[in-house]
Amino acid sequence: MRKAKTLLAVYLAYMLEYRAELFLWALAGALPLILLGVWTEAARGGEFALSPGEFARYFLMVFLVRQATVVWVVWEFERDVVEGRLSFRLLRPLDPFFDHLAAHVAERLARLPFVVLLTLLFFWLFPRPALCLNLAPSSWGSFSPFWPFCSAT
Amino acid sequence: MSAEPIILAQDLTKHYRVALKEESLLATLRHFLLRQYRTVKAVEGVSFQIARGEVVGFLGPNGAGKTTTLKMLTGLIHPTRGKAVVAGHIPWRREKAFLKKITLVMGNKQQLIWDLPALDTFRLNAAIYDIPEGEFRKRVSELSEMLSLTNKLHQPVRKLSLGERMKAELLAALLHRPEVLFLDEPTLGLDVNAQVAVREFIREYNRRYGATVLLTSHYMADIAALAERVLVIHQGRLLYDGPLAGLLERFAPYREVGLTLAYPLPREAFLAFGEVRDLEGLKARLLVPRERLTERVAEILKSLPVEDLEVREPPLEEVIARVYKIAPSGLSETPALEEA
Repeated sequence: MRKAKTLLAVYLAYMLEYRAELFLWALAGALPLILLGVWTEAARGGEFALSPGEFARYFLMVFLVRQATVVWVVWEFERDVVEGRLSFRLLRPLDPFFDHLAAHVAERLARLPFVVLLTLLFFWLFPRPALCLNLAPSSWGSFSPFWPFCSAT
Repeated sequence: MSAEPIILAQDLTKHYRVALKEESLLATLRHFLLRQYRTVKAVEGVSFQIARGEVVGFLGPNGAGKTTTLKMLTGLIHPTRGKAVVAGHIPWRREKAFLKKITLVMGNKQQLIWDLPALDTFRLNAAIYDIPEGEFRKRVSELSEMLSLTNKLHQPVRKLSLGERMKAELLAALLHRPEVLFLDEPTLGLDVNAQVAVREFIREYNRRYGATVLLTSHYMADIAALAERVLVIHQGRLLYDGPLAGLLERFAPYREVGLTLAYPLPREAFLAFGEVRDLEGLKARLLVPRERLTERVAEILKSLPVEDLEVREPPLEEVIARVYKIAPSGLSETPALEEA
């Protein structure tokens, strides 16, 4: 347990050193949020199979899933091999897998505030799609309390 | 020397397969589809024993097989043939008990996390090696004092000088108090002061904890300061195993005298003082027999327009080359590279 806590704490500190880069990476994956704005607006004025709320939910989920599934482990492992750091990891009584696992989880945690920030920023800039969302699972069928704001005019 | 050696290598051999590739596009495609290899005999039948607490210098020019031998002894690579026992373990089984008894420091590689203070790496190592918190603090305090590193532990590694970084590397590598230290050129690239500090630390660590040290270095001064015994390896073969004094006396019974002159002189002007190794403009390099050094230097200062004079040990590469030249003829006929 102490190993897990220390690994996570150290790698989180390491990832936070790269906060500007993490922000840029999160920003680089913001295309679904832009599409969200475009498609919910388009759905208000035309005939589409999905309602503005469904478009909003779909693109928000695409954004979140993309942010949560970026994996750098192969790249990092390759660098470890090429730069000779793997030797040091192999000489410690801990499988190098746990270093990569901790670094991966830490990167997710360090990225999370930027993901939330970007989402909030987007909804601040485009409030209409935000109103179309109702994230309560029971209401994902058709109901949205903000439906009047989302329906086509 | 105790009866049971802490490091034992018997007929240790490592052959690598290296892919061959030429530079054209066609060659790249051929290389992709049908690779050709050659075998590199990195280490060939090396045998030696090291007793607990000994400090042994491991000498050899680039590509001689030093690092490959260290990698086999630390269990990073499997040998092609042969046997090794380190601290009672077969290294390449990489048992946890074994990994807790050894350490490897490489002068050209680093284990410290670059963007964080060194203390973070130490804390990580303490958790990995199961060092209790109190003991961790005690060891960091003791080692950082020995290394004069106390006020640098909270600075990001990238902000440390090369010398400070190497000291921090040593601290990280020794936190778990290993019994066997494999040091691969730990003073590489350091200035003279940092080299001396690292040397002093290694000597003190060995004295205080009785650790066994196998040290490779290109700096003769490292070996001379730390090791009484040296192993010389060349083209993968062990050429000498014995006291350092014996090696120098036997293979380098001369000193190198470097001269800077006030004006250029012909080669003939130097012949009376020693063997001329280099003569270029105002710079000359002579080899002078060690037993006549004082007398020859006095003569040079008296007879030649010397502006600067420096006496140094012959370069290690030259000593090794001499060892190799004098080695049994059977060895010199064995090529390091051989077609597979």
